[in-house]
Amino acid sequence: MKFLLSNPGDVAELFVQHIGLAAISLTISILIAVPLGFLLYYRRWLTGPVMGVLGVLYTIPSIAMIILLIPFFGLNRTSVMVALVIYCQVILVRNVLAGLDGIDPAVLEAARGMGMDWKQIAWRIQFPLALPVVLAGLRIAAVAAIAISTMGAKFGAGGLGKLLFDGINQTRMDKIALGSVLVALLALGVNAGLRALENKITGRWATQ
Amino acid sequence: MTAIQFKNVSKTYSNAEEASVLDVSLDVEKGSFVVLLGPSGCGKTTLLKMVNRLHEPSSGAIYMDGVDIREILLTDLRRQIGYVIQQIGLFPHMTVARNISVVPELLGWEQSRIDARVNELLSLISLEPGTFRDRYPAQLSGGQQQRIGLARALAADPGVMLMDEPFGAIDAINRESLQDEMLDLQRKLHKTVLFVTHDVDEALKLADKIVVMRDGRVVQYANPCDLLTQPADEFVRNLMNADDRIRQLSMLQVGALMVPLSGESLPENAPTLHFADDMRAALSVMLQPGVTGAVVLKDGVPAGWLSLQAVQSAGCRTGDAA
Repeated sequence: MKFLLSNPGDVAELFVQHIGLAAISLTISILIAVPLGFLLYYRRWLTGPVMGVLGVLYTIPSIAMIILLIPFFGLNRTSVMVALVIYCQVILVRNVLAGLDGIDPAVLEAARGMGMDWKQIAWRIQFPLALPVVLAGLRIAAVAAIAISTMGAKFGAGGLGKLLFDGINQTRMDKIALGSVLVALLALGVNAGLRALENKITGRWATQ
Repeated sequence: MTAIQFKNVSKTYSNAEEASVLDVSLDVEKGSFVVLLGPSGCGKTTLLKMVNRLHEPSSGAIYMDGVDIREILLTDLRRQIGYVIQQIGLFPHMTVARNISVVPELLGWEQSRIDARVNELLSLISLEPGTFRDRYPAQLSGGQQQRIGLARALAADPGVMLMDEPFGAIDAINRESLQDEMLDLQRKLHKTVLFVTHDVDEALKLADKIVVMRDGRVVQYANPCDLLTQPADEFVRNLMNADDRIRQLSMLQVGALMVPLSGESLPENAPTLHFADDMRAALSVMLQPGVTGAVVLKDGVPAGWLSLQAVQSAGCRTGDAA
């Protein structure tokens, strides 16, 4: 508390850095995961190999993953973001696929029979109907990304992890406590926000 | 005029040994209600879905208004054809109004025209636009959902409607009223309808002509009366239960067989029938001791006399179908 009260500006900056790191990574992740999920939906035989590779990548510890990426992207924010994007893929792609699989085949047959082309079906029917499941995946991915983003401080990406690592180096319990609490609050807040969005979307048309 | 023509159409699925549809040639008259009837696996649904190219024939060709359907852009073809399926398949994330608007939107209609059309269609299927426009499918009963499915298929006023067991999953009471509404709509709209069912009574009730199918082939293509009185073979005779006199009588209206009144005195206590009743109802009121006939009322006024003898000798003849 002491630290926060005496350095509100610094803490706010770290907070914003943290959110930025997680948010940009999630945005890139979803932009990759949605098309990839559609690809796997239409090319079933790719599902096993792709999900297998993503699953293996997911088991690599975050520090090791970032270090592995440094030779390609440098000792900076980019390596951290790439690592985050890779972690999110397994969660997001799986949920995009589950969302698409959950759509009633009769709905798709009606859409085709009425003369929608595949792009119209994807955009007007499949994406909105899969969205609740995709959002559930995004929620899990977001919490993971916020947690892993703390590692960013070790690699020059800033963020709330800096409070934690500084605290450990300086044996300052107040910094450690503040960093932990803020990361936890951020994760809880984003989780609640995305869940509310999910409910808002399905609430209108789910069975009542 | 022929609206849809099948020419030597066959279909063998890639994973099947036997053909699902075998050398089918049919002409469907413009504005006629044609029912594809047969047991499951007879190829009736496959035949239907080849018209909007959800399935492609292995050989043969299908023509719409004389044009080979393969020469029409696929999405254009489908937007010209109303499509109704048993599972309904309403879009759950869209309101009733937006579900009905789908094809007009694809065709690029102006919003004001779409809105007016949605209201017109909801009124046509007896659902109050103000109440139902903004509801989601999950808030409707099964019967209401299929009414919306029908409205959605009719939205852009297609000349041809393909209906794949549309009332098969609806409870018996709602099915009857949907069938009645369908007949009513068809009298107003004169669509060319291809309608798949395995329900013989439904087929007899709705069809102008019935295509009886078995093992991928057309066994008989005739109007309901001819199917009952001149079944092509044992299969059709058994399927239609053609020897059932009561069923034959149900195809005939009282009005067609009554003798108009010409001032003679009517027996007292004679039962009464309505002009539009069918002969099955007539038989039912006459099967009482001492009754030799019934008075036929038209608009509440006695208009004719129907004798028991006339019912007994009534045959289901071409052109007599209701």
